[in-house]
Amino acid sequence: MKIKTKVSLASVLFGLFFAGPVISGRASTAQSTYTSQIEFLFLLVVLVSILIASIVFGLLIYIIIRFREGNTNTVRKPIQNGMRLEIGWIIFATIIVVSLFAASLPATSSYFTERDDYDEEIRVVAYQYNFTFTKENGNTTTGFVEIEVNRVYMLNITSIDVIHSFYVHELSIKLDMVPGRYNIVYLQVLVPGTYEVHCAEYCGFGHYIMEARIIVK
Amino acid sequence: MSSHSSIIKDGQFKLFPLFVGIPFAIIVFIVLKILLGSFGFIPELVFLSILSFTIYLSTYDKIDYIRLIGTTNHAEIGILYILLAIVSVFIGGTLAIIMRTELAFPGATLVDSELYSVIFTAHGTIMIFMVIFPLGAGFGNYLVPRLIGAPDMYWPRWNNAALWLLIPSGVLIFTAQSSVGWTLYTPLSAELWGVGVDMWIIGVLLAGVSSLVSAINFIMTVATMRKPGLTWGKLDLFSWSIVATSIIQLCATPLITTGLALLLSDRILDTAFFSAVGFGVGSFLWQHVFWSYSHPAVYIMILPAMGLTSLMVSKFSRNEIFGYELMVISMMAIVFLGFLVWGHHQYTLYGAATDAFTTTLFSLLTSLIAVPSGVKTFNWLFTMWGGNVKLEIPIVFPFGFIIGFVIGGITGVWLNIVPVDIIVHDTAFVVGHFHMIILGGALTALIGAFYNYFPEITGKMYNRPLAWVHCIMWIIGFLITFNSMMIAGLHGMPRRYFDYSTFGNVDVLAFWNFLATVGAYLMFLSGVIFVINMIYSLSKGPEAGDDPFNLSLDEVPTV
Repeated sequence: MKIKTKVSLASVLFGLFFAGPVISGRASTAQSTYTSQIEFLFLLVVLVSILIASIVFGLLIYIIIRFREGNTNTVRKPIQNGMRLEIGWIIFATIIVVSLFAASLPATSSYFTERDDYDEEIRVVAYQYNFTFTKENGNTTTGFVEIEVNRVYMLNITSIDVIHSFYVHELSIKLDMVPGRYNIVYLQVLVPGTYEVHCAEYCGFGHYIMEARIIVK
Repeated sequence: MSSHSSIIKDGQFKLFPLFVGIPFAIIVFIVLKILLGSFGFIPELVFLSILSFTIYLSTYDKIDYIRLIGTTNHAEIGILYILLAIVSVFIGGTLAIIMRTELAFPGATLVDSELYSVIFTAHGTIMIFMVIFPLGAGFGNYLVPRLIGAPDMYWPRWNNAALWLLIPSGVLIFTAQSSVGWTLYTPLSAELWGVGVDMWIIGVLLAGVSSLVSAINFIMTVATMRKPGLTWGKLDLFSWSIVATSIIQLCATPLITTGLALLLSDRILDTAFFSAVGFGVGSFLWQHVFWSYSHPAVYIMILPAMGLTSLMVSKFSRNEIFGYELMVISMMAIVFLGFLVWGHHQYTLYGAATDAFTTTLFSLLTSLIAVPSGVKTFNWLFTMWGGNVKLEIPIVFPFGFIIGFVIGGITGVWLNIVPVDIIVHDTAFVVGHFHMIILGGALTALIGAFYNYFPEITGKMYNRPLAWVHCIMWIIGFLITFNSMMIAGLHGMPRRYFDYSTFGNVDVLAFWNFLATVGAYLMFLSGVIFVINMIYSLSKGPEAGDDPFNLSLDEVPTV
């Protein structure tokens, strides 16, 4: 009984350790259409992780305590029928990773599917070290763009010198901006506000100052 | 005790080794200083470290340096590899401390953006090519011939050559001052002016040749020089892991060698293999070439550590390894799958204009690689089941390995969920995950192995309390540092940022970065304790004897 208490205590501790990111990490509301799907997957994968980590670390601590040298009141008998156990956790691990993969498929395909129902195209061009946005009406702005809430935009992004990456943390968007290539991502913002765009791919000494703002009205 | 190694004599560790390369390094240093004029921060740091190490070593006399240059003794070569790694890890660690100090507070505090870029490039390269690879090769050299009952390696002279190839390679890498990151994404790396990137490329090419030579040597040694009766099915897990590592090196290194040679030709001869911009083909090609080497390369880093963990867990729990066949099968599965998953570094490269098939396929394959890793973890745990676990340092470090490997592995699963990867890709989360596996996993196990073999290498026992302090500080340190980095990444801290003061949530980022810095200092301090322990034990430590850990050797595997 004592050992059981210790193990469950340890599992809880490790679980909390992993829960840290959940509680504090991405406590954002659904600000773009991608966010809710991603938040769900994130929560799922964190819960599964807590489960696995608790099992492994709980087992580690239990085994160390039970089979440590000098512990006289334990039966030291190696496991018989090891093969059954091994097949067991092969199946366990396969089921977990494959089901997580399957759970991610809808969001993946919605992120990577081309759409026709967008309202406006915005061309984003990156260069060392800034972003330029060009709207359909020809207005070009550098370092910020003003868009409307709930409208679907197609961001057609590219770069003119080296690889950059268009990263809006709060809107759950990240896409590389490759010179000579147009990458497409769709954006529908549900909450008005100002969102920061940062460059996520190392692009030179000024990488850290490369930023822009998406102003949603 | 030391019949296999003549570096050791009269219980005195003849440390000199490293540095047959030192005069060479000094000459190269002076020549480069004359040629290039100004040098900068990292080369001087390296120079000072090597100089101080030389001064320390010169207090040991009676060492036959000339013979040591040409030594073909596998144990000596192994120890030289390990010493090279120990010197390099402090250089790389100092660079890491500088980066962490810079990031502890928002704003430019210690270095500027250019120096920061140089430092993170140098840190990554040094830690990979001068620390983790040499440690794997070092323990391989030291142990494999003994484990399989061979007198030496298959090609002893090539073995020696592989070691000394790392010295010019290291000199080039240390002094290169490349500032494009260790991933060298084109077109930036193809266009950035300066001799630094060229030096870096040549240095890594040399390291690649060295690792190819030692890979072929290991495969030949294990394939042909096993003692009679030692079939593949009875081979110990460390030799298996070295074979697996060597297979990866043999198959993957030519890719990066070709890639780097073509990139060099892009830079020098103005060709356009990777700098072509039409439709982004050049940069796509580079990323595929680079990751099809560099993803298997992370298994080069982790597999020897897995093998050593198997040895140490089995030795100190005085129990047979659990599920031997499955351990070997999962190692080979890792080798095989490792070649098929490089695309998971590129989930954000394609937008909605590409079909999702490639991404999905890589995601599925990457999912599968978690299975053999998980199997190995459970088998280590159950190796201890029913055993008599002696809690000595060489098994507590493998516990750290298991902790780091599990956390790193689980966050690897997060990274493989494509939509989650889209948020955390290229943020500090990835950096934290990678370090959790390679430092928290591989390096921790390798340190444990060093403690395990220290008594028989030197004939002296290390100081146990200091070793415990090192161990606990190290494990707590890496947990704090890399978990904080991961959480900072979840808050949107991009990697390779030298300053985050313009972010909206700067206070949150500052908190987690500060915590990561605290952990980094803890680790560095524990490393200093490690060195003090080694130096102290070399001169004043008690004699180790035949069974330094009181395991009553008759009942247990002998390695």
